[in-house]
Amino acid sequence: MFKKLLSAVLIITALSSALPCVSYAAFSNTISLSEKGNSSDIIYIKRPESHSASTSDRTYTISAIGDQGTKIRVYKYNPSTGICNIIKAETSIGASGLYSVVVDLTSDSNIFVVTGENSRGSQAVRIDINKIKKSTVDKLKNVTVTIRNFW
Amino acid sequence: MHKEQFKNILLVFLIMTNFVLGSKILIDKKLWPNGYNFFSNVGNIYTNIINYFSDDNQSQTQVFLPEKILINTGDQTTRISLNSGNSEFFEIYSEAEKILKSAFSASADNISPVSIEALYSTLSSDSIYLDFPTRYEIALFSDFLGAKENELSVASEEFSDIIITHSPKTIVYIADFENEKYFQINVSKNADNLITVCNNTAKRLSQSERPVINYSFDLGFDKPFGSQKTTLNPLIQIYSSVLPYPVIYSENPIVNEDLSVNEIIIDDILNVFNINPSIMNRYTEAGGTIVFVENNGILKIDTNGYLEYEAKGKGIELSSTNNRYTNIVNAAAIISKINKAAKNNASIIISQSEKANTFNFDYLISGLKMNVKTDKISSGIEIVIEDGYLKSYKQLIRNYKITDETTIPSEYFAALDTAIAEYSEFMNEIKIDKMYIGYTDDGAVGNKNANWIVDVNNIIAIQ
Repeated sequence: MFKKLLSAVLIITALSSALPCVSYAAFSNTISLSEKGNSSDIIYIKRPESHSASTSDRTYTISAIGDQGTKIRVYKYNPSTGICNIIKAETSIGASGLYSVVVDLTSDSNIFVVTGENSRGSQAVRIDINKIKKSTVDKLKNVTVTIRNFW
Repeated sequence: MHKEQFKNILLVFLIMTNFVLGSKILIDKKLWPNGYNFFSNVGNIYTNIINYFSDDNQSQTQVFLPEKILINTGDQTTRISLNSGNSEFFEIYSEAEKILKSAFSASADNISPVSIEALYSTLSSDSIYLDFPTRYEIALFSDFLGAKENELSVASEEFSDIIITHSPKTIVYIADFENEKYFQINVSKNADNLITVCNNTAKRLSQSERPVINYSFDLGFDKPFGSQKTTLNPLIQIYSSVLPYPVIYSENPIVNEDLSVNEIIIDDILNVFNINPSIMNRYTEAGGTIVFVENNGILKIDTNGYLEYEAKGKGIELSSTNNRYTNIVNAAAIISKINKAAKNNASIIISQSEKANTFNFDYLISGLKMNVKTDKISSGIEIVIEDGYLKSYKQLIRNYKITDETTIPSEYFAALDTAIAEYSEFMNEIKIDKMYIGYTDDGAVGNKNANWIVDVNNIIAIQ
């Protein structure tokens, strides 16, 4: 009886020690597009603020803020394989708490996943950047919206 | 007969010897007692006349130029940053200046306030951003442009940044971020020439590998969020990568290779301050600093090339008019003469003009600022002018030579993080006012590498 009780205590102790390590497992070099992580406040995407944007440029800069020491990776979705491959190796956010990365826009639809990990948990954020023609951008800039009052 | 011939030969020999030795004493300054150099003084009068008529006006007006010009194209990938080290810089600014002159002369009808968002919008489309090294009074800059009295100084007293847009029409935006005042000025002047030069420059430079440039506001780094302690001034440029920059060799021209003092350069410098070598007193202090005392003032030059002049009484008259623009131009003229004496080819840029009578200037090497920081001076040159009179002058006299070596500064965020790490423990809010590539001169001669200069809450950190 005593031996069974001791074994149970030891197992519980071992599991308690291991659990934090399990929750702080690093993202691998490929992740699923549906990956969200286990937290929602590890990183905050500053640009694009709505997590999607359109541009005529061939590159786009994603920016984020996070605690110092937060590890950041950037992945790009490959539609033909259905998975996201790492395109920017892991870096840590420094004392400024600021992070930015320039990504290439190789097609009309570009989906990126930015992951952040620290001792508080992990988070993955999907970002959609659509490439449009410069002529379309110019047309949009010239659009005038007139607000009329109806009463 | 032989005796007579011998006497004649001896006499001729003695006369010739007299001329040779006498000319050596008169011409060779090393044989003169200190303070007496009659021929040097006569020669200097001639030199002063030549200098008076051949003053380098370009060096005087360059002090008002922007430190950087950014050509915005609407795309971050093709945005270009230029400084005075780029050949196109002066051509672009020359065209921009014509538009600015028109803007600073605009009537009140053409001036209207705008929001900061409108300003940001211009930087995200086709425009030219003039990044100045210091804040200017509108009236002072108008004098520099030769613009007539304008209504703009009624709307705003100072500005720190100017943006020119040219599509569909020419508009100049004046920004005063410190006081949160932003204005647009409709300009009738055509910007076709400016557009052509900018397009040609963009086309040429797009062929080479260049970093992507974003503004801080682009990336949301100008506004704090959550636990974010650090904010960047909205117009700070963030570079995705770093280019190599030349190593600069800093030498002290006051001291020769054999460690003797270069008396020729010192004489030329004395002339700039109207110090009369024939009546001045000269002595050397224990540390090797040479002191020249004259009725008008005291000038000291130490062996490290630090020059300090303090006027006695009213000072040296530079102008009968007490006008800030005239004072700055005259200050630049003095600096130009001293640099010429020291064989220093570096151009200068005004780095502070807001204090009433004190003006600070810095050296520019290949378009990059040389930040001078020693225990005696915190800029390349500091001048005090009161009521049109030179009261004091301080300069670390240097020759800066561009070597064949290059170095690559650290990556942008690595430099920013290192700078902030020094202060983050005792600062709750960290504001980066400026961050740029430049050089630092701590007073020691030798190689200087390009580094990131980070202005953290008005404290300068070098990374």
